[in-house]
Amino acid sequence: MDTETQLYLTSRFREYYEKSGSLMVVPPKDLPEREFAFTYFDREGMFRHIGFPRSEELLSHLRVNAPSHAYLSAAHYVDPDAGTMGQKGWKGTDLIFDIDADHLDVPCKEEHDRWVCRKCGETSKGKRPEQCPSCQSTTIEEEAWLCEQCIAQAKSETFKLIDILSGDFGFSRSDIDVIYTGHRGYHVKVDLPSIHPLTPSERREIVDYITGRGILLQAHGLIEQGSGRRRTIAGPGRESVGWGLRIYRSIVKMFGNGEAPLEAIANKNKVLEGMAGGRWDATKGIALKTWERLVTKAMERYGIAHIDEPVTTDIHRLIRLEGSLHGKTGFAVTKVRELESFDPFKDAVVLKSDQEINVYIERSNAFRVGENSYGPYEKVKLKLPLAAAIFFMCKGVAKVIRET
Amino acid sequence: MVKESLSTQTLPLTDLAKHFWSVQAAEYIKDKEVDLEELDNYEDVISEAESWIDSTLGTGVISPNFRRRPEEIILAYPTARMFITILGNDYVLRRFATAVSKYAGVLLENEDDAKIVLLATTPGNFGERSWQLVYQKATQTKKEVIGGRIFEWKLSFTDYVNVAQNFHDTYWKLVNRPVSGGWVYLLKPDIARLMEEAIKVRISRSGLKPSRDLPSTKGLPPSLREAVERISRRVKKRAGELQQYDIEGLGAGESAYPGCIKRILDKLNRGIGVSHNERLALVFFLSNVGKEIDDILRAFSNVPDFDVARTRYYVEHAMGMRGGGTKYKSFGCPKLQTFGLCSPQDEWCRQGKIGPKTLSGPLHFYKAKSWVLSKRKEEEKTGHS
Repeated sequence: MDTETQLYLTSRFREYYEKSGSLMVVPPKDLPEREFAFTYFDREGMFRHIGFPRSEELLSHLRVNAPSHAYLSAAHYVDPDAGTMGQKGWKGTDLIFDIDADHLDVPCKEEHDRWVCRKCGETSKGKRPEQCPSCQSTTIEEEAWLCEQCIAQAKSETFKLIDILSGDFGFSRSDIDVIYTGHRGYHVKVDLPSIHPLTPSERREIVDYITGRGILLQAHGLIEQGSGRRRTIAGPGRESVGWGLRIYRSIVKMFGNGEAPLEAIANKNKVLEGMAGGRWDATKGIALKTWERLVTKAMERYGIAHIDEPVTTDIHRLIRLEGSLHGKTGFAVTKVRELESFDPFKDAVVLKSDQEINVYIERSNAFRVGENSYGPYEKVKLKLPLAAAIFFMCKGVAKVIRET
Repeated sequence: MVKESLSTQTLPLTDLAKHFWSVQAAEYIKDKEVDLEELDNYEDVISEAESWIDSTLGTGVISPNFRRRPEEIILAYPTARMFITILGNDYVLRRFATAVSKYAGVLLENEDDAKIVLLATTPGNFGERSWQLVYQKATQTKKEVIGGRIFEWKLSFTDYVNVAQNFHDTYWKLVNRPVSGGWVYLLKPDIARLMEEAIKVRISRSGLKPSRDLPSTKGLPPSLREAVERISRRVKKRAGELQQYDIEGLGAGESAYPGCIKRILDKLNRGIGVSHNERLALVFFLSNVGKEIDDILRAFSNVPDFDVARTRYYVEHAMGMRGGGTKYKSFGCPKLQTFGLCSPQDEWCRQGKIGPKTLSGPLHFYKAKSWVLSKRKEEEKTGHS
């Protein structure tokens, strides 16, 4: 990013924090116990081990320094600004989850993401390779884009996660905070005293539960009994709970999509009625292994929430500060009250102005801000509304043109 | 009149003897205010405590002699704990914890349901936390049926993962349990098994730090001193055999690391870049000595090009958490020599042997050195060599 654009973005971010910071930025209720960290447009690296005893000091830091990204710890510490983890005095950590299109298998990434080899300049669309196919370097930069499809997939995974957290783990909906990260996904957070002491190993068990790792289908009732004519297959049904119920519901959805074995689809109503009561053999001729394969597919599609696992197990993790700006988009990190209707391309856009900004765009995909679409562009100078201009600049595909 | 605590009011003496490991039993004994001089006269208690430690070292199974008076059984437990604290041997403590917990588990499986709830929900029986455990007897009109099975027990999922994380069998994974509304539904044998594990963890973690007024062996009254000396001799006789393959206990830390690993760590601590092979050698070694992923990442955090996401990715691969799930073994000496990472300083490394055995690699070095260091520590505590 050129210096002019860095300065411009910094000034716009500063303006946001000066005018709206005290309204939009939401310091945590236990602010003095949290470690903060920031990155800036004009400096490399992350500056961490920062603590603020009061909200005013945090807001002042944002106004003065206008960071590109602002983070706080999911953990509570005795001395959050101590220089090493060992010295901070860990007290507990919120239970947090990250659902990000970065870690999801969404086909649109092949269309709109791009990677660039820092060593030889080789570039191509799609997922970043482990090493450059031309020069085998591993220093490869990723240009991640976002679109309706990425966000929709992330939202779908977030719904699955909330279903597990509320239905299985018993968290009330008011205990579960959903926060749009400002880029390609959502954080989900549970901040309860009962959760804080959980160790990394315990959080690993929770992650394994959510991702279905290690599941034994027979533990949820999918078993074969008897043989020959007396062979029966039992499985989870409507009266099951937890993963048993989830498996049953996922299979029902597969039927809805016509993805069940043909013999079962031919007798769909009878089969589904039997399954509701735990009998999976209403139609003969379908082996247990066939059901197991179908269940695995159904779980992957409708049951498992695809979370970024290390985020949950790492008790020293940093998460984004609610109300801060995301330096790759200019969008705000936004608490989501109603996930179904939340539209980040509208609801997270806070840098609004009637003013239009002159930019030069090297290359970009199409993008929507509010009700309007922009791009794709290539090697073009144009005027754009502030939010769109900021977005392309933050993405690193555009630079500001100062009028002289 | 001294008011009895609520927990002892609800368990009769014979139950306190059965559950001698419990807070309830501890409070009963505390009320009796038995000091060391008085304890020294209780031959039967000392004999019972000594037999438990013998069993711990031998079969690993203890069988309290319930022909003795209940008070003697109850007092034998803190006496045995005291002996182990004076010995200062962590391995014996953990073996004792296992033995006591196995004994407790068998009893709990057949114990009265209300007493199980009482024991599980008393703070202190499983460390600081008390369980949220609910028992609901199934009746014709009221029963919890899940997947065709009747469940009379439910445990909060946080308490469940706290214990079950120690089990390796997939059967115990939370994902294989009926979970709803924050509760894990269980059968009684599972509850007993979980309590058994929780007891083992509590005793193991209670540690060996003596209280201020506990004297060393020499300061004990005669019968107690003789008992400790007898036990100490038996422990020493069996120590090498018992500890040889005990990785868990051999956590002597960096002081037991071989020179090749220490050199890599030293470079990292000074912010000096390390080669790809040095990184692999360190990651594989640390993951095989039980380090958690975050501890391993912290070792790398000082290098100039530290990239958390990339480093985490490679560390997770090495630990078998990604890809095919293979957990990589630590490099052996021949490989380290090929990579130019071996520059022997320690006597074992120069000779390529530990005793009569060929030194195979850093992990072998670590196990052996940890044993030596723990033996040395034990000798310093007991004043015996």
